[in-house]
Amino acid sequence: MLGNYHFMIRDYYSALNELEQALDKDPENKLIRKKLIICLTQVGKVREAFNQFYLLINEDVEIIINTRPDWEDCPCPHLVKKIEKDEIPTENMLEKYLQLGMLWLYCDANESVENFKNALKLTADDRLLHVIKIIEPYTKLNN
Amino acid sequence: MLKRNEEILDFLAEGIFTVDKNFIVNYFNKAAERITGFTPDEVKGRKCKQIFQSDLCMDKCPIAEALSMGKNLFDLKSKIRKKDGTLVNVKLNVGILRDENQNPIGGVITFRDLCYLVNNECENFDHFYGIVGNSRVMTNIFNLIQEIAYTDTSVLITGETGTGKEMIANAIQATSRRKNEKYIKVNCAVLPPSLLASELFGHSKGAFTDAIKDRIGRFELADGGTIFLDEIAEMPIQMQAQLLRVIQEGTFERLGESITRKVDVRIIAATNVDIKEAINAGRFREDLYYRLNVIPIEVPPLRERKEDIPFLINHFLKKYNLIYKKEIKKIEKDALEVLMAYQWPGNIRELENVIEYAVIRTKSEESLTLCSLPEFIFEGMTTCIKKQNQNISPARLLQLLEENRWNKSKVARLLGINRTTLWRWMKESNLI
Repeated sequence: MLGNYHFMIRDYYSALNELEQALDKDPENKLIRKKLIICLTQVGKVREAFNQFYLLINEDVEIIINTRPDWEDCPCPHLVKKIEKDEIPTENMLEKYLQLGMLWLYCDANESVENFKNALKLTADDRLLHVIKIIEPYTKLNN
Repeated sequence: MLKRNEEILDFLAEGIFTVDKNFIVNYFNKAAERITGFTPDEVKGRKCKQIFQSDLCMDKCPIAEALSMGKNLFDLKSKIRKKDGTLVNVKLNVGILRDENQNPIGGVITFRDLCYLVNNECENFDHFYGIVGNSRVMTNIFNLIQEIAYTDTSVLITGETGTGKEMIANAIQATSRRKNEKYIKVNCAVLPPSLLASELFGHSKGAFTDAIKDRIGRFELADGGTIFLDEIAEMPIQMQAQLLRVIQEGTFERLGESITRKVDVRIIAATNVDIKEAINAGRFREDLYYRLNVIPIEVPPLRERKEDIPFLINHFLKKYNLIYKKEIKKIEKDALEVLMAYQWPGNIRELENVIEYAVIRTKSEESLTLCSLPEFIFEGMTTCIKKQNQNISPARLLQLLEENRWNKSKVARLLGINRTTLWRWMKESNLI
């Protein structure tokens, strides 16, 4: 519950610390994992975030896609804007696209896919192809 | 049974709401509805911070504090936002709800409206976002605060201790475009210099011995909102350079980290020291002073706005009546005159303490009397009081004697006369 609080006030380091402890007790909890991914991206652990993201969307992509940002006080709409404007620093372009791909999925599946496609141009990670394949049906739904 | 419990809770005068472990409101009683103006349907399913926007939400959430400390908390003072946008002063208690395995599953907050009586009875005098003041100098400050409501420029508030600089800062924030954004307060004098940098700018794990994990700083926490830097002159000179950079460029680095971060924070600073003197002494950077001092506000000491004292007394009387469950309606003329004559080195804070002391001590049910005031108020005033009390009526003298159980030494001291004079006055009044 403390993790939820730190997440709510956007203190991602403290939130990560608490959420990891909560996940140790309840490893299958998707709601914790969903927040953990955002925290990991914001503390610079983008690759670790992507590993978690990949596992989660393979299990249940809708837990992220069905996020209602306003209702859930989700920080992603604010974060993606800041990342796109380079107001939040990223290590390199690949990490930027990975972050955007993950965080956009909480708000807009189309944008998410576009960013994962950009990431795919910079790396040969097969998981990206699989991610795009999972998300694309939802972009068609949106259209 | 659940319905019956809700009926019982609806009967209570205290506002009650509960949240789940995601801080989403799931219960809201009738008193909470009456105090805040929100209906249960409007708040259930929403996060509590989105609704109440308390000054504690972003910094010291009472539920998070109770969780961290592992105990329930009582009598916390806060302000919550009502449906109409106005703020209400509340005193609240917090408890953690746990499941059968003692895992936290939510929290319960009960709260009372501290301002109900004060607000309803203070309509006859002016106050501005909780600041009491009818004097010209205070009215000018209130006007200035309204004029700068649409700017994001830095403000430097100066004034002696106890003059209400923090309340001025609160009013600036509450009237600004950023009123619904985060508002973080930092007292630069409270933390040692080594911790202040970490507190303001954050640190990375391993930056110093006790940095066991990464920590976000107050500037990052206040991003998009306002930060109030109290006692700014106490900030170490080397950190002033970092602050200057935040003001000029909005950038900084956490301790032990090389990543440059960018924030958009409006700065309100305050000090009770002569900052020009601090500049001359090399304790404060001149360039920082000019950056902060874009809009200077000098809060006058109470002795320079004595016309506000009756209004302040009235305000504090109502506040402490409420707290101590008394019904004192006024202050006796002679007691008021003593308070008007006093120089108030501790300013409004000192006046508030004196009124609280007097409310507790007074035996009269109707009014605050001379005898209920603390003795230090009379120091150096003997001549003045003596003059004022030359024409004391026999009835007033009798009242004073009875209030002090005929302790003549004490009454003589209160009146600023010696025992012989008191004895003569008593004789002239046929009291002996």
